[in-house]
Amino acid sequence: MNKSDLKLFGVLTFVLSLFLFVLFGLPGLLFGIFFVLVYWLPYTFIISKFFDDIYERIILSLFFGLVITPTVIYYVSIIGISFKLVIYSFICLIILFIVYLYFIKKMDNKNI
Amino acid sequence: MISTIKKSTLELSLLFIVFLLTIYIWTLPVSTLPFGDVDSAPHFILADSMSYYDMASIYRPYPVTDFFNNPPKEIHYWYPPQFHTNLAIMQVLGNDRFIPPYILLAIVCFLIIMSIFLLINHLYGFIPAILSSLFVGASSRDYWVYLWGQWPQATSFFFVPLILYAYFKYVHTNEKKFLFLTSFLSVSQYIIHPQGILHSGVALIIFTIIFWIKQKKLSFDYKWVAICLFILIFLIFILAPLQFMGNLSRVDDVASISSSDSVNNSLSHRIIRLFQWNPPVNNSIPQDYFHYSLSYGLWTLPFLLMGIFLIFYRRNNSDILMISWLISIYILLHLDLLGSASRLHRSLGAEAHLFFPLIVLGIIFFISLFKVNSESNKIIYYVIIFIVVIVILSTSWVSAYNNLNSAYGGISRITKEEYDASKWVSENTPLKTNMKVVGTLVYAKKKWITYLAYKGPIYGPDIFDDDNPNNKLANYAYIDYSDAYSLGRKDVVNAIKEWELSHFNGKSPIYDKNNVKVYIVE
Repeated sequence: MNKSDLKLFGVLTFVLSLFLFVLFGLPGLLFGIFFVLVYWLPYTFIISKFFDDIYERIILSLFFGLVITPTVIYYVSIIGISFKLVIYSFICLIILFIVYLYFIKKMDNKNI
Repeated sequence: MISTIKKSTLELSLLFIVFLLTIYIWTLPVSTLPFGDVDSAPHFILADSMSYYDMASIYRPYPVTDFFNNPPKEIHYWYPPQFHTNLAIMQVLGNDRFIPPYILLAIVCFLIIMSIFLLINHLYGFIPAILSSLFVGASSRDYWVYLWGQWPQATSFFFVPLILYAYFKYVHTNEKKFLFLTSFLSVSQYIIHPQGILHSGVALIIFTIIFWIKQKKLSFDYKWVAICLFILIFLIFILAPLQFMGNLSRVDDVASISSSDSVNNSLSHRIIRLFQWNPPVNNSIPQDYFHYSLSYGLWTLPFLLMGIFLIFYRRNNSDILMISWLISIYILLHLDLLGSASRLHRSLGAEAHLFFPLIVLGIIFFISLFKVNSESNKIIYYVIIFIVVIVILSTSWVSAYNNLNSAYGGISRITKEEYDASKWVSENTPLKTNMKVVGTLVYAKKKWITYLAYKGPIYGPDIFDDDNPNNKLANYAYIDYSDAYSLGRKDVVNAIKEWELSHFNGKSPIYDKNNVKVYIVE
């Protein structure tokens, strides 16, 4: 994962969210932003360590996200923690992770 | 280097455009009210209950539990929780009960465009891959399943090309990460819906056998395959433990040899059946679903045959994978010959995921016959490909647009009046009670009405359903005049009024708005 990949996801999120906002209003906008943030982006970071092909990175990460994200959220919530609290915490962790990589670890154009 | 970046950016942009176009037409039925046939309400409520109660549970919510028992028997989820948790997550994050989960449903139901792209791009290159994705994006075999509400099954099939891709790369590169990827994707497919794993498994076995015969040696290392099989089984237990707490595996539900299946066992029938492609027509499914011309367009048939001819004639490694996939689908569409006719029609959805790439291969093979696929004739080649895109858009896509745009109009989906009443009941009546629905004219909506009210459902095909033995369990009666008024059916309105008078004369409803009344049953 490098800065250009992150920019690609930025553009993807923007276009998808704008498109869904035009179709469905605020719920569409929120969907577009969180769909990329929760299911797609974090797994691209992980997968890019193992797969060089850009299609593998982008497509496989989405399929990974659709399985791993709900698994984490469901099994943390099932021990009695509020379902919504778990989801919001999950998002906070993702945002912190991206901020850490981008600003603290000084992501450059090489793979991190 | 720069041209490589530009090429990949252009290709990714085209894939993203197809993705957006597909989102556009697949979300045409999405509105502020839910849709789906009888399977859809239980799927939706499994998700909805997580955000409604703000907790995940190992038990099904009340409407889907066994409320006929006294006290009601709590039953574990019959699906692993991942699919429904995704919908609940988007409900919470999208801040809306219906629109975000339904957008997600549309996306997961057409994600085949991505998995097909990945596989075909690796096997045959970008042009066949993007054309296949474009074709599959408007596949009626897929959007009908999406409209009917069999969402986990549709999603599960989309792992098949990914699993084939991962295994194909493993046998060619011998990199173990692709074997682990095959395992992980197989587990993912199983926990979304087990029917898809049959397709992947049979295709992988056939590919392994054919490749073994061709190469005269096994394409894998025993030790690592054994490790990956162990990982596969271990992960299934880790990711789907609830499946093994009283609801052991649903594979039997799909592939069991059931004596109740209506299978014609005569020898002549079996021999004839070997030469037929489609499974026996299922009366619960519209007949159009089984027709080739209505599913693919008759103009594609010559190209499909050319594509099949090509892969059998050429037989390179990519073609062998496609041949294996074709044989696996043939076997799974003929399980009735082994005694199981249950849900065979569902495999037709998987058939489309193979047929569309084969059609594209046929088209490209046809173009190559005119020798325009050389460097000097690239422009003519791209012009012809552009014409093919126009043909796909003007045939499959126009048909898909019309069907999706007109789906669930009028009273065929739960109306605002009905939904408001259901919501009121869910917020103002005790939990774990049951509701009888009277007067609603569309059968599938009765399930939606009771489930959205979080009430045990009591209804039947008849609008009054007085003979239903479960009527005595009803705590509430939901009397719905709204459908009859919408259709201008005064005779039906009068019949419902008579029924209401005969059962609740002199009593006051606890809810009475917009032609829907709710009474307490004493």
